[in-house]
Amino acid sequence: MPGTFYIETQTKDGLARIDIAATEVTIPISIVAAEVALPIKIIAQEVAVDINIEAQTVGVYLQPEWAVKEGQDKNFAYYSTDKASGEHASGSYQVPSGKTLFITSIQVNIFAYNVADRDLAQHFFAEAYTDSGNFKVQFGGDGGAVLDFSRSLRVDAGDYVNFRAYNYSNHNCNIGISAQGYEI
Amino acid sequence: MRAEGLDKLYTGDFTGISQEEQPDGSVIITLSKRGEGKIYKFRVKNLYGEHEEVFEHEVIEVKP
Repeated sequence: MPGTFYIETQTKDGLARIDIAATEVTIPISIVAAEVALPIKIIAQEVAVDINIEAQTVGVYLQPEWAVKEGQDKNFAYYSTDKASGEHASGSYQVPSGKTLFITSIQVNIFAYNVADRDLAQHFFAEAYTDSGNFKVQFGGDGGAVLDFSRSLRVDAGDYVNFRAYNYSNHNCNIGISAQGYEI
Repeated sequence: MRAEGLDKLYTGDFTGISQEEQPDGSVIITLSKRGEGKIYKFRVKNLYGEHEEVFEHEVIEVKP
């Protein structure tokens, strides 16, 4: 049986319990209060929820930002000095049991080991990949690069993620490869 | 007993890791965790390998 119900409560404690059973329900809710706790449990085949909140402070975090707030972020930096052409800086990390690592960004920097070479191009090739083969990211450039991922790279528990940055210049260079993400 | 820093690495109990390759094939790893006030610095060879070996290890107190 279709039904539309309007409920308005103005009490000192502001506690309203709602229990409705109907084939169709429309409930407009407007809450204005200094503090609000609103536990809601909805079980339905289709749900449409419109929420209008008026408050002094509302915090909404994207997952990477929340991970930093909660101390779940991971910041990796691997570097090596005086690498000849074709040599690389590298590092690996094994995700612990029960955890999943999400990588959101990778950077490379490269500069000539000898000061006299620093006006030359410092070419590099870099890659990040897992032992499982779940992903392989490859990129290159001159002097450095930054990759920000709109979709995080996922590394499952027990899997290794490997970072490598190769010196593709014709002179010796210092190389660093770094990455950021979070592990939950 | 495994070095404390290596335990931190294996359990993921850190927020920052810095690793520098050494000419002898070893790496110097520096681990930190935001708010903990400690830095774990150690030199290890064959990391994650069968013959993994830690040569030096120190825990440095810092301001959290």
